[in-house]
Amino acid sequence: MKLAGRKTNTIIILSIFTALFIYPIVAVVSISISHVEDIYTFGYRIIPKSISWDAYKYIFASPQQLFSSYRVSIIVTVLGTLLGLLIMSMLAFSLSRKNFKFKRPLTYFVFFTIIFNPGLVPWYINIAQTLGMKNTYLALIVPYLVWGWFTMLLRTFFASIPEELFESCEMDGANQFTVFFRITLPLSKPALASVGLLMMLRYWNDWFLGLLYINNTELMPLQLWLYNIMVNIEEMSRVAADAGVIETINFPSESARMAMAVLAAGPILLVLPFFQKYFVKGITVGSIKG
Amino acid sequence: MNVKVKILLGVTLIFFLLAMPVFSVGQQETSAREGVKEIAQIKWALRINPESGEADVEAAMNEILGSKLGINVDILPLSKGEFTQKLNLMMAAGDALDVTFISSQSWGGNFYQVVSKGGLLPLDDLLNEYGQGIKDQIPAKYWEAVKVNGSIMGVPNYQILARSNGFRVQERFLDKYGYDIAEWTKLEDIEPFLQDVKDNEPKNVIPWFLTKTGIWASVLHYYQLDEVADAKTPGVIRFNDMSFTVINQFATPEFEEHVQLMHKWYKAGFIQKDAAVITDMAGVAKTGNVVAEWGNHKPGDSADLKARNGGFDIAVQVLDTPYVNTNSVVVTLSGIVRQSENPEKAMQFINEINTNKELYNLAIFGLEGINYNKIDANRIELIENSGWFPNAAWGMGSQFNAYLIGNQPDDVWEQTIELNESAKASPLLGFVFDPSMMKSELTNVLSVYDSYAPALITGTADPDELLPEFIEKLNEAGAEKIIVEMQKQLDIWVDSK
Repeated sequence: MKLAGRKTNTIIILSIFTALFIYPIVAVVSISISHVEDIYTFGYRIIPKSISWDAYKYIFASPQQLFSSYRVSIIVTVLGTLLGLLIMSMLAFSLSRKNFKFKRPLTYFVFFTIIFNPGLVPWYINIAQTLGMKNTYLALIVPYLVWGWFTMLLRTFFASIPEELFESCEMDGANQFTVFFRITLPLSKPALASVGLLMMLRYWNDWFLGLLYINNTELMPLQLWLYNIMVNIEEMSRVAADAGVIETINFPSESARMAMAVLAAGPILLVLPFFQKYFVKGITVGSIKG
Repeated sequence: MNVKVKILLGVTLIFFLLAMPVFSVGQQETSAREGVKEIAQIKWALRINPESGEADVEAAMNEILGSKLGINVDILPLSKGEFTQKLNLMMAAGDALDVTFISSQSWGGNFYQVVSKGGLLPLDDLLNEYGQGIKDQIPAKYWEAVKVNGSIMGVPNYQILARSNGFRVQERFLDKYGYDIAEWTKLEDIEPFLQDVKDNEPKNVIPWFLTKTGIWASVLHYYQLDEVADAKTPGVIRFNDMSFTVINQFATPEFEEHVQLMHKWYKAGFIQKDAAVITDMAGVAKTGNVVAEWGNHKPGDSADLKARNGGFDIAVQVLDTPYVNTNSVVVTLSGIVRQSENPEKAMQFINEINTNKELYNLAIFGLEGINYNKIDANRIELIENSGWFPNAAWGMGSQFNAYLIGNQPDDVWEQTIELNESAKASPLLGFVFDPSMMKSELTNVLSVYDSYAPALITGTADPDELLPEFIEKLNEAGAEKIIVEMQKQLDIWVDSK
């Protein structure tokens, strides 16, 4: 009896929290399909008064650009996350090994980048001019490949794997690559998944790299493109007046904003549940070893 | 010890390896440029979206430019959201760039910041030598406005400069209640009309529409005040005050009068209840429920206003004197970037785009028959989605060379030029307040403004309670210091003239 009571309490509390989290998402979706005039007349509503697809129509007006931006974002996210994970975990693995000769200077080198960054202009000069990556996929991937912070996180996790395990492997004749790929990585799935998820979000949500290094619309990532559309909508009325041009098109500005949020968040929302089981474990990564 | 030395050597080596390409790339570029010395490359940064027709338009422009001036122009479209950041970064990094659109205001570029960092070349000599055409086009008094520390730093994209504010009222309501807008000469004169609308129209009709920003910035001139920095920053002078005494506009009787009036209207129900939080003007106006508002008027804007207000005709009554101050000139300029390798050619290009009608219309409308059709000699019709319509004629050159489109009256440019030339020029034209000494005070004052002003200028709050507190908080935040500093800078500027 008592137990059942506690259970109901838990269910009620969790339901309230679930509702709190789901409400904004539902609101965003329903605003995105609301009629703009309704929004101005009645304000935001959770159940649209009348449904209109104007916002999506406006965004889908140039589907080529939408698809090419999706393609760019997906390529960058997948490649960037995989490559980044590989490089960072290899680096972290080296740092975690007690018998690695340059452990201290290399750790210092990684740690240094967490605390200091070179500033925007040298960074830009380096990527755009020295490395000549402007208007290539590389410019969207390379700058975010290695994060000092994630590397440290992985290193701590790797270091928590008992040293004896490595020793016994080496005794059986495994070289460092075998130890890394066959032993360390499979044991570190939670850490890799959480770092991978964060990397993925970082790549997916990034528009800044595109803004800095991409002039070519074919290489424009999704977030940058959506950001540009939004700025355009906001400005439409201002520019129209100044250019002496009549913009008779009714821009669904409020609902378009939400439609963009839906489009931008959609794929990542779908990916998230698959990471969940690792992610919960991953949250405590790094805190285990004091 | 030995290990440390080795590491140090290693790190140094890596740095050198990384730096090597810098030198080699630099060399390649210069040698490539020397090869094509006859035709000068001019890279032109604009605040426009990339479009598919760019290559064709450039080719047509280069046909004109190449034979006449030996210039090959390359447009660099930077879309609105990225313009400022990208431009400032390219300037700092020394990327290849010659001419750029730049503005002191929200249109992008941060003109004054760029100038103070030395990002733009002074143009006085270049203008005299290569820019006679554009120099004669713009009245001398307006060249004063683009001077920073005595040198011209940008060429205005000449267009409507005069600001003249007044009522905009839907004609259908004027007719319905039998009012003549021409009789209104003061803000208060509109009151009986607003009362009638309020009493007889349904609830969703808004008699007097205000957003969070209110209309304080655009009634400044109506109250015979001229801003030293901008309307939000404490510091104005009175019109015709030849002693140039800087005062705090929020402590003036005019400000009190204004907020009292707005509060009265708010209490009477003329102003919508959510005015203090609303930021989006256009969306609400489009519903056609906005009866009256206050705004800037320019020749030939009746069609724009009609479209903006859901297709209802708008009557306009200008209440203040047409006025030009520094802010209204530096809003859109063309500048030559410091790293330009061909400043002479760049100036020739600016001069040409401002004086060559064919070239300018190519840039703003594209190619005849592909991007637009001619209706008569001077009027065109756009072809939609044809790959080139940057919609930024105001950012590319002298707008008075543009073909007419839409409902623009035939003489819209003549009217505008006349308005510009007859407008009253602010005595502060060319004075620019240097905020570098007052950074923290300005930030504090602005945050005080943001927390108090919306409630006051939309009439939402009672000025009797809030205004004294607002002024006190402003002074605590450093308003008086700012005014003293402004006065100091202004006195130096006046003496130098």
